[in-house]
Amino acid sequence: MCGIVGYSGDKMATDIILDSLIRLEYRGYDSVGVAIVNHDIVVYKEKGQVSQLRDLVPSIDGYTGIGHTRWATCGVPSSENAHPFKSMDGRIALVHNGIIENYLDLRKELSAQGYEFSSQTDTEVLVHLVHRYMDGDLHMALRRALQDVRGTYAIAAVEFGSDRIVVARKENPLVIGVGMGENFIASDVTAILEHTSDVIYVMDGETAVISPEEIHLFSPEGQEIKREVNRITWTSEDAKKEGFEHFMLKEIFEQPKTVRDTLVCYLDGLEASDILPPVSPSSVTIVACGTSYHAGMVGKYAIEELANIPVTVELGSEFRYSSGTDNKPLVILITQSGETADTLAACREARRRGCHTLAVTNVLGSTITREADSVIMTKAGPEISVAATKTYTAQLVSLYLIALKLALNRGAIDEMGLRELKAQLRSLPTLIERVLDRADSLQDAVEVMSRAQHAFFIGRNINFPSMLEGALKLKEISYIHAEGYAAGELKHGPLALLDPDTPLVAACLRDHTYEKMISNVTEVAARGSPVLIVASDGDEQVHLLTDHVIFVPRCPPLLSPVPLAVLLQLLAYHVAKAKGMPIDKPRNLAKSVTVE
Amino acid sequence: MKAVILAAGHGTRLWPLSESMPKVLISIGNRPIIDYVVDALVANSIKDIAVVVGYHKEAIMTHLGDGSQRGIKITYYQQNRPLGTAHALLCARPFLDEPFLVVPGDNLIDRQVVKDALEASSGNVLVLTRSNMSSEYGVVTTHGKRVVNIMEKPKNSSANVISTGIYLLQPEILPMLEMELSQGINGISSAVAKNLERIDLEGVMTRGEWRDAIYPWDILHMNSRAMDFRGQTVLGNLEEGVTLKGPVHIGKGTRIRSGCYIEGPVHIGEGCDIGPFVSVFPGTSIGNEVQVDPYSLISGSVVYDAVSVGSHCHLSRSLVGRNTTLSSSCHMDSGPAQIVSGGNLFPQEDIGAIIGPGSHFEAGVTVRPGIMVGNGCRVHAGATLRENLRSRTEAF
Repeated sequence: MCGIVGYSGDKMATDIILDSLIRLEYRGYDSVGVAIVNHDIVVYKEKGQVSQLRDLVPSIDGYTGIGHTRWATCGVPSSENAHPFKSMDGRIALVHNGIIENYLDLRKELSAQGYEFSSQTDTEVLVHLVHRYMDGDLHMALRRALQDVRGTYAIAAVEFGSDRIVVARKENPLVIGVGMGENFIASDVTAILEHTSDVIYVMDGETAVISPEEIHLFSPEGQEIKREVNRITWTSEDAKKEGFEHFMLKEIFEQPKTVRDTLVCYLDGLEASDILPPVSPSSVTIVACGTSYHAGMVGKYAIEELANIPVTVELGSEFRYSSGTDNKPLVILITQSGETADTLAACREARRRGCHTLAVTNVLGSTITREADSVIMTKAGPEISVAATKTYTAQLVSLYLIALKLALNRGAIDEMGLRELKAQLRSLPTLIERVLDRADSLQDAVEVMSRAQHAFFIGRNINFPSMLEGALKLKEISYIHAEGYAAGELKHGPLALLDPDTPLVAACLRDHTYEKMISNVTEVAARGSPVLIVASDGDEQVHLLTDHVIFVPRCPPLLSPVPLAVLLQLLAYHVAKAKGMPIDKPRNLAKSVTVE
Repeated sequence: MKAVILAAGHGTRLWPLSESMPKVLISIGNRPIIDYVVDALVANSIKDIAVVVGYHKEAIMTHLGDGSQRGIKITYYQQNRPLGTAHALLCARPFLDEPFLVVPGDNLIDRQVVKDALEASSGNVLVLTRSNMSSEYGVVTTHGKRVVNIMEKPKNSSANVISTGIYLLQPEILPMLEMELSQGINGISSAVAKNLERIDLEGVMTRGEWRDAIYPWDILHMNSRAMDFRGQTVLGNLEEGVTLKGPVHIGKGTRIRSGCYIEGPVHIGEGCDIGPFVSVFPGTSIGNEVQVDPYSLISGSVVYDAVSVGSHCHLSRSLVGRNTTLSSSCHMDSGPAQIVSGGNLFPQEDIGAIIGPGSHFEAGVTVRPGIMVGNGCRVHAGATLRENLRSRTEAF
């Protein structure tokens, strides 16, 4: 996903375009750029976020311009690959959101005609094509160029010496904002709502020419058409949420898709992929912070079970204090942003000690992707809510894949076992859907939890880290003091803190820990604390222990952290909502922690 | 022209599929029903669409998004309690500032149905169709073009002209709906029926396809026709020695292993692993991430996402809900049967089993024709099911 914007009017274009790009950052934020028309076409572009470009761009006199914010899906983020792209004579600049499928053929053809390419992007062929057909009319040149193109796009182009912006769209969003003596274009109404709430939607196959005073819209056949102006009645914050009340809820509900995307990317070719060196390590160290640390702990159980390799999990901030040993473990670093300072420091330290480093991250081109020896991308897309949800489950999936790959490398799994595990992994998106479908069943649990000031979460084995994560979600967004413990640790201290106002959330799933969990819970119930049991579907027995039960679909024990995570995310969300908390932006917390 | 899709309903008679999923998202021919509705609107250049959501609204909003991927704009309105279609429509009141179409999101329609509504006169229009199940719908009487009577679910009616529930309405009609709602009349059809003398309602018999899945076995009957694609599209991986005949679609990331024999119309989704040596026969749709082990046969059946079918299984005219696991040698053969549902009997000429989502079948289970199994059941090895199984129960 990328975002494009454009402005032509009587104000300084740079400021308006940068402002609009900030509002489109949710569509991607790994590189940005602007092109402003004045005595020349001035282009500034940079890898990084809009704020970085803002410091870089001097105030340029210019009243017409376009801008772009990018989320790389193929081709690394870099200033060369950032948009806008200029034609070789510098007279045309263009931004693009979408994919040009036949760009390799076009590139070959254009190179043969003497066009030079400065980037690896598919977009650059567009600007050269437009230049090839340029015969005084940019609109006609763009229409002609698009006849050669196969793919999807929303395009905006400007030319030297003109205050017009020419746009085209196919299967990517594009709107025109109607102002007084100024007009706008953007991927999304959000970007321009501050300036105008009157918009015209550009439909598939259509093109348009925009100048400060005029808007001309053309049908796919090239006939000029009239379209009524729509008045937008909602605010810009609402727009990006597509009907959801909060980003967090939207992101929770995206998980079937993000897990599926992550699986599709790696599962089928896992045997042949080179994400790990072929030598199998004698031990593994996983390093991460916060939610990623909990994912790492799940990874420990998965790797130990599937590949039979011992794993230690370390906090990013503590790894540097650990002593290096002679044996060189495989070091897996998990960071959503790829910029977490402590995890980056650990990566450097691990490399200094001569270990192979494997990064699991969500941001292509982030620092860790350059520094680690190999990388697995979680395909979760941009996450806006500070509380991590979809990136956590995507990390879990990545760790299962790593565990499976390690098992394959060691010969610890046979063909039948592999087939069965792959089938189980493939069922995860649907399993998540089934958890999401029962969000309504949480009401009673939400009531119990939202009355509490303190809460404890317990689990055993692979569900222990799930409960740590469940507690973290709750405390982050509802401000309830929640702590997770290994169920066996309860007796070694925390039990003293339980009282009738402090609920205990216990994962009692139907696996080999079930009986031990039940006895832990019985002990707590006997002391008068409210108990909320997370149980497997069809387990009637737990009703004997407590009135408060939430059910998750049955699944293989190894994979239960995934449905459990989704369920506890929903619980935290609804508790925070019942308490009226600012869910997407909790106090004192930042999305990406870039200081140590 | 704008359109409002009503998608807040439960569809309870589609049990066990509807237990955790809104009817509009249930797939026929491997596509959610609401996708057919949106396509029919877009094909008629209607691109400003409101969707009224309620039951499992998040799933619908996640599925459709804001419409920008399809080049349309989708706005959501919420109906917090299921209080009828007129109430649902009025939830979208701010959207209704020009003539608009009202379309139920849970009927399968093609573009012609929408076209017929748009080409009728400029007033208020009700789209009609013929059905031999008229006792399930509103039976419509017309005089010339004008609708003069709508009778809701008549007991013994020989008439076969029914309302599709698709209206083209002028905003001027809204105060009347609001007034009737305040009197407790909360269906569009009943509100309109009460006021037929005061409003001009034109009936249009559609030439298009309008189909409704009331019961889960209707999905089996509709599945084949819904797959109206031609030719063979293979986006996945075919190993050597796979035979494809007739119209077959194989989705991205799906692997069909050696020795499989697939005779269309068959639609197979993404990320599946099928075979080796599996036969799939006409009228079958297989969702995403499905695994089918060697020597199984699937015919005229609907298999939803993430189902796992063990080796030596036989599914004929059967429906298997998402995430259900069938271990090896499970048999669901078809034949004549009387389906028991909601205390009524439904005779069927040729039907297999209907299995809800998230159930687990151990090896060697046989399900007799016409038997329905609920959500999250567990059936132990070697069992033969001769009666319907309630959700979350065990059978030995």
